[in-house]
Amino acid sequence: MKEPQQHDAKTEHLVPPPKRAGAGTSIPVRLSQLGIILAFIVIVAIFSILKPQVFLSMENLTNIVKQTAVASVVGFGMTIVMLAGGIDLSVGSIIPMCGVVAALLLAQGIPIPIAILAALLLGTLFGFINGFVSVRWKIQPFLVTLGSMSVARGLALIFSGGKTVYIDNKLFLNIMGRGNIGPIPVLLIWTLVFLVISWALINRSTYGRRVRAVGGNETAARQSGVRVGRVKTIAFMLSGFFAAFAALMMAGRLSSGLPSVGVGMELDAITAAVLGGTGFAGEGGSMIGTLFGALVLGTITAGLTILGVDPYVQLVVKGIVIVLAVILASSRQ
Amino acid sequence: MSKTPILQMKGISKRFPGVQALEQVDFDVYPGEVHALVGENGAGKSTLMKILSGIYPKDAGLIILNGDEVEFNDPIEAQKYGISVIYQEFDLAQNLTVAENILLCREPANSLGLIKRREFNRIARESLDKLGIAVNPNTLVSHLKVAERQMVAIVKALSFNAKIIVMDEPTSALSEHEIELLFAIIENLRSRDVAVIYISHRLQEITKIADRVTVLRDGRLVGCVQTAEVTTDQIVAMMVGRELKDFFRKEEVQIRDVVLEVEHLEQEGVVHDVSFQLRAGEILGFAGLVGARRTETARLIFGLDQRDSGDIFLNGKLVDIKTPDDAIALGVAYVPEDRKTQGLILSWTLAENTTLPRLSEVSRRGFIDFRAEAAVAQKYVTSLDIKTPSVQQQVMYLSGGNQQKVVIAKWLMTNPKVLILDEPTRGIDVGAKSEIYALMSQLAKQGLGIILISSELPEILGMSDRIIVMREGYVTGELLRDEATEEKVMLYATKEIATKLATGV
Repeated sequence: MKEPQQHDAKTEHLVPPPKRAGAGTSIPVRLSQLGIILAFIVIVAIFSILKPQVFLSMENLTNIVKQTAVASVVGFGMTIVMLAGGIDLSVGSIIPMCGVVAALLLAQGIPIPIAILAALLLGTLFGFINGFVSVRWKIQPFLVTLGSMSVARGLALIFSGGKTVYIDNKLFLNIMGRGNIGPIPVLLIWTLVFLVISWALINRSTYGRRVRAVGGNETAARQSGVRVGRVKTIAFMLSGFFAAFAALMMAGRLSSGLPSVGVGMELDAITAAVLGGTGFAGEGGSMIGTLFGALVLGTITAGLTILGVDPYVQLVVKGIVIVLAVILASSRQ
Repeated sequence: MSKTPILQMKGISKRFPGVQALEQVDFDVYPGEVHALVGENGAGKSTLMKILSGIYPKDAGLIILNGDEVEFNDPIEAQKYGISVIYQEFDLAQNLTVAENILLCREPANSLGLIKRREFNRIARESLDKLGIAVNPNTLVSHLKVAERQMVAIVKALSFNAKIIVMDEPTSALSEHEIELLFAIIENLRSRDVAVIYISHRLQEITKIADRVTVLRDGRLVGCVQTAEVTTDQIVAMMVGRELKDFFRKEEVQIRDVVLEVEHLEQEGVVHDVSFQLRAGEILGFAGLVGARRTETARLIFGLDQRDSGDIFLNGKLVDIKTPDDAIALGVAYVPEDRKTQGLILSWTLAENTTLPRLSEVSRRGFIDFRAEAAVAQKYVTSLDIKTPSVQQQVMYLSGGNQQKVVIAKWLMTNPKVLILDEPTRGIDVGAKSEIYALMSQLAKQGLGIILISSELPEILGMSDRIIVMREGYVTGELLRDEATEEKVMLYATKEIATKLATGV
């Protein structure tokens, strides 16, 4: 962990300590300090000026929200794992695995709540295995999830026989992906629900404190009585759970369980978290940051598409934006 | 020692936002002199040295080197003038060998850029021999003991033709024996007319090794005296500006029942057959040289490491401590050696650090009650006199002594019956040390059983009711307060271990 300048109490800080938001959190979440929100506003402004009618249309804006909803929820789960000092590369594969399972169950006529529960349990269980293996045999999460991502995708292909599994259960589709409550898309509601849940978990709960302890200084955490192995395992279970829910959202949106979706989504989730200020050494942890990180990525994609930019070029632009954002973020520190 | 100083710093002043770190400080050193620099944390010692080594620019004053006025713009310039600083962290690359470190960026190479191996090894070997250091130049630095790394750092400094070497707390991680070796090297440096500026809190050592001592306080020069002409008490008085009566603040405490009993504690290859008792109200000192495995013993009791055999009894009851949270629940607390890497989460606030082992006390149904947390933290800030602008201050910005108090506060919050302190005053200035001693006495009075692991003999002798001496994982002796002397402790600390020899292990 990078050590900022330290001074004796008598030598006044050369850099004054950042303001704390709320009582007693050391996650400096002063919204005005979150550069990513600024970046989002700037990007929206740029595209609005370039193509005002199309970009600022209700249709486009809702589209962006829907596109980023799934990535956001996965991102929240990833943020939790990163706060614990780990990483979960398997989420992009948990999505098709759970999506396919849910679709198959619904196709069999299994009631919606059971299908949903089954998918969530599967994702959580998968996360448990990730965590357990990593902790028990002391293997880097990167390596464990590198392997398990293939396992999950393989299972998705096996369960589905490599084919799309269609969902025609209208109620499910409405609740999970296609419906609206008034003008608000259901996907947005789910995103906000998970935003609140993950925010409360990390910032307000004792578990969140322990997660941040493990990521902040695992040695000190262990010596303070934190059950490090348990905390890490639960973090992976949460990531799996969030990914499973994201799978349901995606299945609802696409009206099917597709074994081919989610490729690269783990990287999108990590990017969203990093853009939002969460790093690989347990620092950061702003869920709103992750949300805006996802929004920035989604907005750039949408904006460039409207501008008619070649999708291959879009990829290059996306990459450049990410590197710039990280440079900006670290130079601020 | 020559008559003209090699270095003169005159009227040095330096201001940081909000504080005058140095005010008109004079400091000079002669070739071949060992000049100690002391002062409480915040007195200005490190600022002065940073100006000397080119890290900070001075606001006012002169630096005269060999009679010429000089101005350093960066540390590399200072190094060219022969000024070298050896920090507590030793700037050595862990993954390179000793020789590679010494000759880093100055390797003898041919026109193709390939290193001339033979010359490389010869230069490295010679540099080490010059100081009488018996380290194999091909060893990886990460495999060296702390003391050996320090010597390599000195060799490296010298290889830059340093004429002035600044040593910052050189002995804090060394055993008694290794300190003797270091002093021999310093004598060697002296004979070569190299000047040594020696920064340390260990006043006993300073009177042994230094010719003069300069005392700073609050950025000002208090005085520069010949060490032969002062006592440590007088130096302390100069440092804190007042008489420090009864430095060790030991009080009469009624010692009561056995609160912790350890029997035949064993960790294969590390801790052997350790047994002892600790009573409520007692301060039990654990003395020994580095490698005595006192920390390892504490870690076994606290559940950080797994014991292979042996029993632990708390208040007479056999307990099975497998993890730190078992220990905490049973009322055992462990204040670790290194507060920065083991005791605190530096980026966290004082309040957050304080409550971590007992979050249940400040939370309801799994959610943290921030107000309660701040209140608890404030309680300790007051009772331990922790100097901080608020409980929401990140602990990285606190001084060493105050950081240590936060660690202690954290453990006090767990309501321990047994408090293990591992080198609690390491790297802390005199004033703060005394406060911690007073705190220990107070806690003993309240009925806690305290284990004090320390490498500072005066501290062990000053604070302990009983002393257990260890060597290489074995208990080699036990002394009562009245009969304990430095010599007796050292005798036990270096005693040959009969068991080891007998079984030929």
